[in-house]
Amino acid sequence: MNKKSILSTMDPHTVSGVGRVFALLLICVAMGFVSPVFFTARNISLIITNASIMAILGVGLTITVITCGPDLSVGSILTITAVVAVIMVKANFHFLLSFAVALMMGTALGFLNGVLVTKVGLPSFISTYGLQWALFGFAYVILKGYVIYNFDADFRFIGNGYLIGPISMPIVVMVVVVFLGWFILRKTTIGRMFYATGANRDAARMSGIDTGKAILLAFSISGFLSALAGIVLVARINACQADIGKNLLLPSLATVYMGGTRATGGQGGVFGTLVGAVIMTVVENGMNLLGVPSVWRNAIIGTLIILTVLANIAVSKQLEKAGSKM
Amino acid sequence: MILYRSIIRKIQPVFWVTLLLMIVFNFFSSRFLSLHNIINLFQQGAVLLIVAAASTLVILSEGLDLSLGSVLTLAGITSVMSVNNGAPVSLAIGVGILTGLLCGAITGTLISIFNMQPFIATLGIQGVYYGISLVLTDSVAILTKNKTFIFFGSRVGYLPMAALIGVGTFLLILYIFHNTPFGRYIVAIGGNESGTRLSGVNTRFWKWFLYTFAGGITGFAGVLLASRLEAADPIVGVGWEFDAIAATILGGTSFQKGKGGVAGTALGVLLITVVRNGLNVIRTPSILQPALIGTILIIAIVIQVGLSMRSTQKEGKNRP
Amino acid sequence: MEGVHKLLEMQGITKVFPGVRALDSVDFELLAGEVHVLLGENGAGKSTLMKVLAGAYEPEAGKIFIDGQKVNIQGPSHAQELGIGIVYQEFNLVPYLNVAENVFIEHFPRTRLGFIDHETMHRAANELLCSLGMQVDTHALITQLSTAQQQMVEVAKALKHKSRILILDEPTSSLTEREIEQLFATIRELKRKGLGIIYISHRMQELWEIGDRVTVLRDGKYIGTRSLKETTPDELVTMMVGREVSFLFKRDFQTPGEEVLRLEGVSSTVHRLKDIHLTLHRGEIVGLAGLVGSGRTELARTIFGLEPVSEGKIYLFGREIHHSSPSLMVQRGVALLPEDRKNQGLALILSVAENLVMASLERLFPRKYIQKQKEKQIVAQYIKNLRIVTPNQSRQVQFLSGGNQQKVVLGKWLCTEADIFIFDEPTRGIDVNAKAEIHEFMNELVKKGAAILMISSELPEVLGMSDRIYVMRERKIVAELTHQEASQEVVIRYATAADHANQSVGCV
Repeated sequence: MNKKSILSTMDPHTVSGVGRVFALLLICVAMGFVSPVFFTARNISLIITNASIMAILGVGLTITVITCGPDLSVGSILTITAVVAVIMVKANFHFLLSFAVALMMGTALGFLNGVLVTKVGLPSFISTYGLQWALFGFAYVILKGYVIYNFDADFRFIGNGYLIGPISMPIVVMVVVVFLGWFILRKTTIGRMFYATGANRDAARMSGIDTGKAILLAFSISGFLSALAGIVLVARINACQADIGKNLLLPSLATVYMGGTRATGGQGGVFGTLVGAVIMTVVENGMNLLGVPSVWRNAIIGTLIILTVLANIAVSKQLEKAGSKM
Repeated sequence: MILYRSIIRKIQPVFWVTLLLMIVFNFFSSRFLSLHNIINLFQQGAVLLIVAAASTLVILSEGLDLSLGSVLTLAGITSVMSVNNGAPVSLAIGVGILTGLLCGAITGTLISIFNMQPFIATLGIQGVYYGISLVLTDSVAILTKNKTFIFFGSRVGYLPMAALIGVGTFLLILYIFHNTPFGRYIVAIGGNESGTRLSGVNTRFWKWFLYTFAGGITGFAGVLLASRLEAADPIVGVGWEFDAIAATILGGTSFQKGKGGVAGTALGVLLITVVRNGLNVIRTPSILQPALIGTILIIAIVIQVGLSMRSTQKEGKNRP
Repeated sequence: MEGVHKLLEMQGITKVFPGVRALDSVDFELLAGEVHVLLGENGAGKSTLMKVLAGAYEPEAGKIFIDGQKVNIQGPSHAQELGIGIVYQEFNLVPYLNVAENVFIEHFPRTRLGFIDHETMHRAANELLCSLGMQVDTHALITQLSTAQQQMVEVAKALKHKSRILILDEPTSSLTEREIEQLFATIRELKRKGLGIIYISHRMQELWEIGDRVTVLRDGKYIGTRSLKETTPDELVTMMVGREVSFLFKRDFQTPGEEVLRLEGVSSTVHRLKDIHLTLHRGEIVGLAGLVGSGRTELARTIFGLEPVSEGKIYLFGREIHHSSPSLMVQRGVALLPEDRKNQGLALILSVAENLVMASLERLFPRKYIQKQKEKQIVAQYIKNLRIVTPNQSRQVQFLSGGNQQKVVLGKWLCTEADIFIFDEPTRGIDVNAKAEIHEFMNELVKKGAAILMISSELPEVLGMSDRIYVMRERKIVAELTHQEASQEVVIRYATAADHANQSVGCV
């Protein structure tokens, strides 16, 4: 059997997934040459910890992209729920209570996104894009230009605590989230609903799938995870301000698309997103080590997104060509 | 004329909402409907009018351009830099437009030649354009004192230059839309791209040309904005693409099949400008403004889309 | 035919796509003033041959002569210039441009300054449409026109370059009887003017009404050309299929069992359905006949819960259904196989397995957890029973052949173990062999106790397969006939629509 037909019978996910991990290893090796500090246990733990926040956001975003379209409001939901949590903690509410309120708020906002898409019929990128303006606005109203910092140790544990050895709490949260994400998507009928709704909403509906419910659920999960990521983030950096989530949208989208999740929905998975998150963090880490000025950040990430999606398109074209030889 | 028919049929809700808002604002501050303020209103809306027209053209083709805000910014920067370096104003304006054309051409290549989804392509590329803006200006705004340059954006006695230029450009775009093959191709690509291609139209080229054109006119708008602000600010364009899209939606253009038109967008721009201007005139604290504007716009969009969905259903199922 | 001018000759046309030889050295000729039918099953190569002629495809081999001159067709616009016009089955019209703009989409009349000359454009469009016997407001948007009117716009578009050759690809599939008559009248008029018309069709009943000669293709090969006066349907079918095929539908009629579905006074505002009364029992196939636009698919959708009922009641297995929805219907054991099986029945980027179980997720995995082993077994079972050709279960459905894709859709619904099946045009676009298979299949289903509601536009099929027939006209049920009472004449009589005046703007 020649190479092409092996490729065509293999699951396309596996093929590109392997390619991605390979790319990651390549980048890491390159980084190792760039800076000797890179391969220390401390640096690696740092990278993965930083990646975990991106990964938590990414899992939520992956689910919405698979089901419907990207949730562009993740950064703003993260911000406003973090702001609320932080204010509550400073007002001496119990830290668990402030977590709970933030998470519920995130879920509710996600649900609102879902409603805008299902009941009103707005394309998701419009409604979520618009919502983020409003939410950032509200965050600004509440916090103005101030920075709130210095939280109690209990609150901060989820961000900077260590469970066992070098495994930090954010990593633990990430592992749990990724596992649950994988489980729901691949092992449950709910996950199938997500994929079907994203692949062909009409056909899914005509097959008896409640696509409205699927979309509402997907966005609610995304909102929940955005809030969770926000909590971990502010706990970790021990500070919070009104624009904390502003620069997270582009990198998290890059994470998802790099992870191989198809932009038009119906395909993709959380492990790819995890790899994507690590790649993004390594790249950012590398940019730091190399002293790349922050003005170039967005440009680089934007270019990465474009290159990644172009690569995805090219790869799927190749697989289609190989596959149509049946 | 056909224009009147299409305008009146489609945009009634937005029109009444705008009228209502104007009355409400005037109730809270009688300065609102003064001649001075109305002229101000048109000055403020001029730039958005052009950018929104560009956005409408793209959306009619079933596409999207989220990079318009960054193109606006970058074009303003290049033109101001040229002027400050001693270039004649006409050349500087040309530089700004050229910047827009180039940006649009790149975007168009990604979307039409490489077949990337417009949403992702423009979301990614705007990061690049903003990055270039930041680098060129070292992250600070660049002022200009060139009188001729500033003239175009300013107000000469009772003559609002920016408003005139803005409205004039908008009318030109409107004319191009209805009376050139290019304008018709935009709707054709949005309504039935493969069918149009099979009919012998080079849709690939015209799609690319569309984004280039949109970039070019946005570049011009960027020059106009820089002229009004008397400066080029590397983050000034943030959020403009949302306003442009909102104006397009409120003007009755839908995301599907090329339904809608350029004319209605003017009303969308009017509504948005009235809201922004009005909130200022009644002295809303600037902290509250972004949140309020965002919320009002979302509600308006929800109403508009909801109503148009209902009318689409009534239209019937005679679609090819 | 001596003395008649040979407009077109195609010799040895071969067209190859990756993996498939769509046309294998095909010959075809067309005389001026004739209607030449191109007949063949799906995949026979009719559309491909015409796309080569229309400049949409470039052949690997072969020569084309127009008026005796050899031509090399460079593309769709070039073909138009050469006098070849084509009306595809799927219209290439733009919904929100007006009629005139659509007609002249690649060739707008211009003023001296280069802008569009609207006056000339509308005048020319009006002239074209009038010469076709059509009265339409050229300022109307395409979405405002009926399907038949849109088709006329397409014909006008095809003819605007003073075409001598007109290709019509399955022109009657979405038309009412009266509209078909109008189309034929137009075609006869064009014949009189000396045009040559190539008429691609599947539908035997029309050929003798409108055609002069017929050429049959099979599997990309030229089989033969006959004069319609000198041939019979059976001969043509034999040529199409390559073996003898009987036209009879096998159906084992039996006494119907319990009532499974009942509609009482059902109306729907969104579909303009009025006062529908209908029943369905186990063991029977009930046919739903009527012209295109009579509301049959809309009724099916309403029963299935896709759009709401505004008045009346639906009873499923004796229980009233409030707030029906597809999820509810599927849960209760109703299946709907849509007309557009590919786009509404499948998620093309998902795998065969994922598509097959899509409608049965709740039933197979009530606790939400997907047991891979169970899924594998069930999918394997359906692949085997339906003889679905695929290298493995995880193959994306988009890579399957059309026929296998149809089987996956069928398999999906069989997997739900439904009691009630609604088939919307089950054999449309399917070749003759497969048709017989499907009919046999439906027969087996009802023998085992299922109930089938079958929407079909092919009268022989409806008459042969149904225990009872409801005839719809203008969104109402106008007749209920038993198998014995029904005949082509009776059904057509009930189904024929009343006249509607067309929109008219003066024809100058």
